[in-house]
Amino acid sequence: MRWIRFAVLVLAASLLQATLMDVLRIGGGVKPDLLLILLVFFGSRCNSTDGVITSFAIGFIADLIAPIGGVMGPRILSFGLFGTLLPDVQRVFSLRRPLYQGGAIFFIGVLTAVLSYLLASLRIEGGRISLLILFLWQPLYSGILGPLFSLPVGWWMHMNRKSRNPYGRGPRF
Amino acid sequence: MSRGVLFTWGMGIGLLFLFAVPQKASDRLQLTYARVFSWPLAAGRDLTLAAREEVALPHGVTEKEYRDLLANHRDIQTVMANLQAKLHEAERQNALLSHLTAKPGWEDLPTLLAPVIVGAGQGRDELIIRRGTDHGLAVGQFVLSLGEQGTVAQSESVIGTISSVDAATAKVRLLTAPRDPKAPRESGIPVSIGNLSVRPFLEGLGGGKARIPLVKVDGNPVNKDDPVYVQKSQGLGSAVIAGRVEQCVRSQDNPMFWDITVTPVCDIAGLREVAVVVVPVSHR
Repeated sequence: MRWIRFAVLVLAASLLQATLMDVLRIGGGVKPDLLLILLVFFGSRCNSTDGVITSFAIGFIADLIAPIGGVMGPRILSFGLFGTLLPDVQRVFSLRRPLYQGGAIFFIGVLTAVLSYLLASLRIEGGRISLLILFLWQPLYSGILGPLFSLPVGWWMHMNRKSRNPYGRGPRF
Repeated sequence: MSRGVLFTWGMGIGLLFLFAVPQKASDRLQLTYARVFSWPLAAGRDLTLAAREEVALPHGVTEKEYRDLLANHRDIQTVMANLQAKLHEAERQNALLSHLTAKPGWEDLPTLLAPVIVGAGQGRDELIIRRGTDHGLAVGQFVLSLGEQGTVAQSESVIGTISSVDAATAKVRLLTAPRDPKAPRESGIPVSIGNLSVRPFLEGLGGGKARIPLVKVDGNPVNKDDPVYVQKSQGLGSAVIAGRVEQCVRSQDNPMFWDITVTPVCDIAGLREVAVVVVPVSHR
């Protein structure tokens, strides 16, 4: 794992997420979540130990740039939890396939959003968050656009070439 | 380090942030991130806004010229909004003044609207208004209330007179302000009640009340709720109501005279604006 490249990539993604992703905004403020896309990317291509580190690190950055209700912690926990499970999912489904990758981004997006919201509501009132955007439209939009980002991210991280599966056996699907 | 240990550490840090780290510290962390990366964040935001506002420029207009024009346009819109507010205020004042001058005999009444900046109440028998000598105010001029702030036409009443004035502000001594014991009795306001044969003076008692002394009982019937008018004088085109008789009993000191208590007809404490009868010096 190239950690310096990873740090630069996550930092750049956080800056893009806070600024230029507004260009891709549709509807009532739905924009793709770059950090969610990176979470699934690294969860599906790293070994399990690196996957844990990348998941918590991306969750920390996500909390830094877009904390739910201003509270830090919910995204560290939700990204960390579901990102850690991704290498196990990779054993069954090949998350390198665009269709599965998009589906994984959508499902992980829904799960992390729901868990983050529930954790944040332990500290604050629900507030004026649009739950439909948070729970459905944003993960869906990220799932559709996510596979497009895999190629440049893989190129930057030198992860595009097919590597030997760290678990010995390839995914079933 | 094994996967399990890393996971435990990560969850521990997350829970620490969620429950143990004060909100202030989290905010500081987020602000530090924004400060450290302020340049790329600002540049990215500019780019995003530029991408959204992108328009086809007319031939021969550079982007800088277009942005300057846009900035000028925004400034002009702001100036227009301010002027619009001033216009609405002038229209409102015109409407109030036209109500006032619609009364018969008041057509040529020189009045000036004045906002109340310090109101009456809590033992205070004077108002401070935001108009002064620069606007033609002088000591002794009558001050009128505007009914329920002008919503009901011709419901004005006299509330007092200008007692001191400087360039931009003036004090209004209310009719209910206690009379200076050293001042002559004629310093009160000449008033009339019903068909009285005498023209008595109104004196303030304080506490939102006034009295009319020295009215003989014989031949001067006075009843409760009779209107009390300020005489046509000092620019007033006709008599204007000032209050109503609240109580009328024989004086304990001299039973030949009435002891008349008067209360103002308007809620002086609730006034936001008053009209001053700006009489030219030669008329007084």
